Amino acid sequence: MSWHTAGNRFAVEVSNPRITKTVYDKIMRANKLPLQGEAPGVRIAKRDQQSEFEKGIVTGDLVYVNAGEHKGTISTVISYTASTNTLYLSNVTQKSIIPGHLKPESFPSHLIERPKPVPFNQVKLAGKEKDENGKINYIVAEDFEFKEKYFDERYQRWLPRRVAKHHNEIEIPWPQPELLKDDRYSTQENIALEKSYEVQTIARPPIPREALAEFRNPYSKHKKRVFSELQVRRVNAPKMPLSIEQKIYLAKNEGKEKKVYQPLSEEIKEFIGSKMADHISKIDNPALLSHLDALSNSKIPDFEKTLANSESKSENST
Amino acid sequence: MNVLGIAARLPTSRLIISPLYSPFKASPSSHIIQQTKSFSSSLINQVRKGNDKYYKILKYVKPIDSTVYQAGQEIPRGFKVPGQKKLVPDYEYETMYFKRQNRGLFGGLQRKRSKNCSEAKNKTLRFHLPNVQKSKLWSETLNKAIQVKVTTKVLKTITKEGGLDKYLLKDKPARTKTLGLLGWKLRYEVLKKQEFNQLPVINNQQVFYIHKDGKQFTVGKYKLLNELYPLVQRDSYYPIGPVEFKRNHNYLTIEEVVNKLEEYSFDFSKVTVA
Repeated sequence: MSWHTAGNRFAVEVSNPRITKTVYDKIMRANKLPLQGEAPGVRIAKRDQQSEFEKGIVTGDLVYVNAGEHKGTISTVISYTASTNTLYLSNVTQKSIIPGHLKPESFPSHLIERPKPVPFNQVKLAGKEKDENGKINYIVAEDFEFKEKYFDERYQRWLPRRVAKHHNEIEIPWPQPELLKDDRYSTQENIALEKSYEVQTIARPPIPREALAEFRNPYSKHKKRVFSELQVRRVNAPKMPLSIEQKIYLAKNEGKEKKVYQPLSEEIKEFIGSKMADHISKIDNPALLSHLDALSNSKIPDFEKTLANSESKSENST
Repeated sequence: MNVLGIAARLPTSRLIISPLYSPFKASPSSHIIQQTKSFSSSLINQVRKGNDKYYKILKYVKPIDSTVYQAGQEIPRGFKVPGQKKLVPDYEYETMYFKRQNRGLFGGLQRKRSKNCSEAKNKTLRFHLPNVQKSKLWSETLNKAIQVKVTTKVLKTITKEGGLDKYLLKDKPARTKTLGLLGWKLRYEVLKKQEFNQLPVINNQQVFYIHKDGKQFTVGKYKLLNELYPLVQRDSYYPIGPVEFKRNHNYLTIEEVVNKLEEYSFDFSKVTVA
């Protein structure tokens, strides 16, 4: 016994109604009597483990032990351990010593009868049957197999029908599942439905039309924007004022007309052609001649531009 | 060795080298870009391979957007509107290389490159910086001394031209190119001051602005805005606070403010001189 009793004031008690669900579960788990130790045989790897419904024998099923110490007993299944492929049966028990802190107060001794793990292969599925006289008989299936699936209302899931092998007319129904009891943390069904259920329809939009503007970004970069009066003044730089020299130049040239290029007249063309022909006729050097020939074929973009410019201007003026 | 054999082994792209071949062909998209934004790209075309004195300035020049935008016009995609308005006109020849030339009057001088040569003919790269001096230059128009970093070459030019103002205001392409950003700003300041100096003084009253119709204003923009405020407020159904009024009217030019006042048939006799 410890002399330090101060800690007891802060100890968490199950009877305290203010403790949370997680704390409550933790206490209950700690005080629960652990199941009997390791079962005989090897541990099964996780990828090879099967659930009790896949195995075909679930909690609440009636089974017949066909081998070992307890051969011939008929008992109900308490639980199935997938990691060792064993079953705990209500009838098959073993005396074992339990540690002091787990011993219930009502028990006089530390030696307690507890369920003992039974390997799955030492068990056969059994069932009850009433005969004409009202006497209950047990039927043990040598083996069983699964048939077509149906929706089980009790389990709220799809389950296969369980029948005896080679005697498919004998069906072994799944046992009645243990009903969940309401505890202090559970919510009543009608309340849960009332609070969590909301009618969803395509006719009514989830967001009211008035609130849509709140969700959309009016300043999005993907939206088309236009320059405001202020923005334009920020973007456009001021102009450099004209210097006195520039002003004088502009004032001088104010009255003058801009030079307009006109296409050459036929007379001038002939004159230039004759001058060029005279000049070329004097050339003896064949290399220079070939060079001039190449020059005449080459295109000068600026010259072409000027020609086009003059033609367009003459069209405008006429 | 067979020459044709080598040619056959070469990749095809290397064989199509002709003056007519160019990977950039005119596409319709490029045409659209030109419509919306016209950068002064012709500057880069000005760079000649030969004896261009200012090829370095033109080569490292920052392109500027010379489009004049209108209110109500759609903002181009990716366009960033500046937070403050521009105080100085855009300078076409702002270099992105040797940036200290934008903060002083360097006259186009930049860092030069050469090699140190040892006795054993080992060459190491070195550079030559322009001879930059900090000096105060008197501006006759602004009537004050301006402290600037100037190269000695520019100092010589200024004395030759006959003063800082004449150096800044010379209207030759070479001068505009070599002015630098600071020179450009000073030029704007001087020209603005010159414009102001040309305005008359009547009856000991300085005229600040002459309108198109000949009205001579003895007050500035902000005093005219003070006159405009009650008129605008009277015109509105809802009350207009001073902050809201400033927000919508402060950006107007003095010409626009006068035009607005004319709409309200404002009596200009108080703010003008005959």
